[in-house]
Amino acid sequence: MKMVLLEVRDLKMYYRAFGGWIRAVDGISFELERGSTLGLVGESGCGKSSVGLSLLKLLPPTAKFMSGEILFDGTDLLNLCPEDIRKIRWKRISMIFQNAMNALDPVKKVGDQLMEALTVNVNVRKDEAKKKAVELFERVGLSADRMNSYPHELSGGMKQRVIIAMALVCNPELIIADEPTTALDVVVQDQIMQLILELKEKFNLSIIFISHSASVIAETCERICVMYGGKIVEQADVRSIFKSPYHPYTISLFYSYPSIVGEVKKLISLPGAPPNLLNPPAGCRFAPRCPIAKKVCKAEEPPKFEVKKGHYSHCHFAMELDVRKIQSMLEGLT
Amino acid sequence: MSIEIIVKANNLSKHYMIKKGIWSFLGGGKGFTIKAVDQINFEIMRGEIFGLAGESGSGKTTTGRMLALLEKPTYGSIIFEGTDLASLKGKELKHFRRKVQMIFQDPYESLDPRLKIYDSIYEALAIHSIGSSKQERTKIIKETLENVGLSPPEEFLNRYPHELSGGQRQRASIARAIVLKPKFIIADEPVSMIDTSVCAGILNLMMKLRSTMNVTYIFITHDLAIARYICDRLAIMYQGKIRELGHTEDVINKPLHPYTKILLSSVPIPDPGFKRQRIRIPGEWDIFYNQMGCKFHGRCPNANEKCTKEEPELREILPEHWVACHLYAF
Amino acid sequence: MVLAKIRMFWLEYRRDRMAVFGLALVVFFAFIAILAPFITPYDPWSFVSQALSPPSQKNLFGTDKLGRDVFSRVIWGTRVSFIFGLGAATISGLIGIILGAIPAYYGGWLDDLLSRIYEFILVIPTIFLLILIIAMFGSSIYFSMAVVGLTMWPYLARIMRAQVLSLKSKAYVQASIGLGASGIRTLFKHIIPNGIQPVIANITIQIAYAILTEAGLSFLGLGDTTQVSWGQILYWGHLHIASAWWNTVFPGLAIALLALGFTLIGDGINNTLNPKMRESR
Repeated sequence: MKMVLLEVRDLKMYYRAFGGWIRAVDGISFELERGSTLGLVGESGCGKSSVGLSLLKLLPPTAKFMSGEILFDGTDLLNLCPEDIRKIRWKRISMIFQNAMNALDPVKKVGDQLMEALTVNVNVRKDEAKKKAVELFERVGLSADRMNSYPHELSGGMKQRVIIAMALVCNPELIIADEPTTALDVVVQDQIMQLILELKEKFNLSIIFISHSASVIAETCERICVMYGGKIVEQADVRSIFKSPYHPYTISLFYSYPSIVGEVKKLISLPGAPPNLLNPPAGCRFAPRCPIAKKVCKAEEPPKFEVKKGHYSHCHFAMELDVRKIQSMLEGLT
Repeated sequence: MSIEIIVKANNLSKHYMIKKGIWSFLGGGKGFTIKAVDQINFEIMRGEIFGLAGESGSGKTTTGRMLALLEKPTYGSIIFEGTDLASLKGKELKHFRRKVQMIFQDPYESLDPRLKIYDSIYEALAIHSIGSSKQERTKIIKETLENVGLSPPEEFLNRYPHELSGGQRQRASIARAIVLKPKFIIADEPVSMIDTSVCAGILNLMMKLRSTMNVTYIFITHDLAIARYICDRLAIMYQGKIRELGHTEDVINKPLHPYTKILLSSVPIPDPGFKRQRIRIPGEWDIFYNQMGCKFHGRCPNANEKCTKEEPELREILPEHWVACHLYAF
Repeated sequence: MVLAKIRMFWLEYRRDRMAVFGLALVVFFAFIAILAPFITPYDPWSFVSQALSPPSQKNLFGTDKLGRDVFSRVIWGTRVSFIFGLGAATISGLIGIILGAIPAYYGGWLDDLLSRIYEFILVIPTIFLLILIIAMFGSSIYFSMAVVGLTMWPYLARIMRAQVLSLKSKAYVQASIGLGASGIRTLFKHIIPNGIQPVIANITIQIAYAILTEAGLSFLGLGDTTQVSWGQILYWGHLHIASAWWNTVFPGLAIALLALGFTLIGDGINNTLNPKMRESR
């Protein structure tokens, strides 16, 4: 039986700014089943990282939740007081950050940092913490003698492994991984991704991957949410969406980056810029850049269509979309 | 089409002395050498896009910087259009600077934050006294901005770098490079810090400029998918040496060197149905570890005894496909 | 854009209350210095009342031992202090920026030599050097201003040098070299303008330091006796500190407040430009 671990309903989180609100997360909904992986993909500024931070309520003071619910294992995180959030954050939901390299204290040994995280969060004695830290190091593929190293003595990949060990300190149920491999070399990137997926299998973790790379998401996730301008434009099982995308933006995203296999296709680059979230366009936010936009797109917000079972698209023309045609139209634009 | 060599590197090397400890601080003590680039040889033909790929620390960026004369080679020479770059001085050097331009990795750092786009490009024209009047220069700048896809140019002339997106900034720095009508452009990871969705535009622009302006590129990248898309020929570097060199399709589809195979097997594929065969190798290499023989043998799944003793040379194993590996020694 | 930047700077700067207070102090003294001829009741040199008369309606800050009005003298002294502080800091700034930037940019033996030179100057006790030089060459205020400037520049040169070394590897600097720009052009067009802010913050603090040094020198009797400076007033007043406190307290207060003002501004600029310092406060 499938069990929903996390359910986000119509979440709106805005940042206060000069002259109004930046609508970074503007009414998004998704579900995550226990033990599964979900990918949030989109270009920078589409709000994907803000979603991750919202789930942990790790937001700057200018941020404000306007509406919605974040149901984690049945409780709405938005209704919890800071005290109760702290009981969940890191213990049940943890995060692997984008700039992980800076998340380690440069003047402390990595082993000590891990032990500190253990004693603070899990309330264990020092000798137990040491034992647990060694165990964690082995779990993420680091030898125990690396405990005595300072961060600068480790390579990027090793630091990332330490960060992953930190995220595993309290045996969380959900991990949010925000671009966990962006700054690393290809080979190491692959190794880290493999590690995360192995840990997921072993400990039945649920993972939300946040990435700008469709390739990474394709290989790691079971479900995928494509974000554009603070909204989810398409949501589906990863196989279904890569087989047949039902949103023009998704199509442009998939054909914007080359692959190492298959024939070499001309890449699509969308003209124009992503919407200004301080003052987003009316109607569909993708309309100003969309090759098939019609009057209705600029006037009305598109409804959610279920094009196939479990495959949702927010496009007025989702039901009559011709992928080939859009692809060639997009190629014409570039 | 006749093939003409525009750039040739002969035994190009860059070594850095690293000193450790308090004595070296005072000028004494023994140091050791890091061979960032170690005796590499290649030729770049006019009009091609020559790819230089490898992980960080492979020496690819140092090679690019030496080609741009931003760094002096420790040994070896670079021949550009028949002239040895080491011999350039004064006027000739300035003339070379006009013909060879570099595009940098970080679009947030490659333009002076205090200067408007107009002023950044104007500087290039002023240095080389191109255009006789301000009006003429303005006209050139506008045409160039149009050419790199920043149109209408009037909208960008008076903007500061921080007012542009990453992709637009990279276009602006390409504009600054091409306003001098260079013959050879060194592109150092020009899309690695740009959003994947914008990167296509930059790559397509560079390819367009090649055909319209007859520019030759050396394209430095860590991303083999991008190298496959844009490069005609590809050199794979590892720890300061070229390990494999050939036409891009050959290197990508029929890789010979074990390292190339590993690199290729690590690239994620945008197709959930595709199960790629991963080659597992031990961790990462250590820059301070000077080893004998082939530098890759510690991580190589096919290493034998010879690899630990002798450094393999780059040889043409298949037509126009070179590899430096003992597996193909006979 | 420049206006917008100044605006942004001001929005950040004004959050630091002490820095705003410092700016207010300096602006206040600046007005006094400019308006000196209009707000002084008496000529600072003329004998207007009985010697050493205490503060009264006629002489707000009392009179000195020659019967001159201390209030008028303190106001005129503001000018001297400003000129001295700004002048010394300007000399120090110009030398510090140039000798900090150029050798750092070109590197090599010149850089090593200059680094040793400023280390050497930094270990010489400034006041001792000043006394020596003034004893040898006389005590003109402009002369001592130059000497103070010449002893302060290594502090700025060190900061400038660090800035140049870090900016040298920035891509836009490399791009400028790649375009064919000369070293001087790259340095003055790209590096110095982008790295000068912390130097400016420290120049402001040096103004305060110079003002204090002038007061100190005058107090020791090494000041320029032809000028009405706060240090001079102190010097003439300190003999009667027990009987006529107004001769020392008022100029002393003025010195302290103006120096404080400049120091607070310098700290404010530093904090505004360097968010890390702001957090750690």
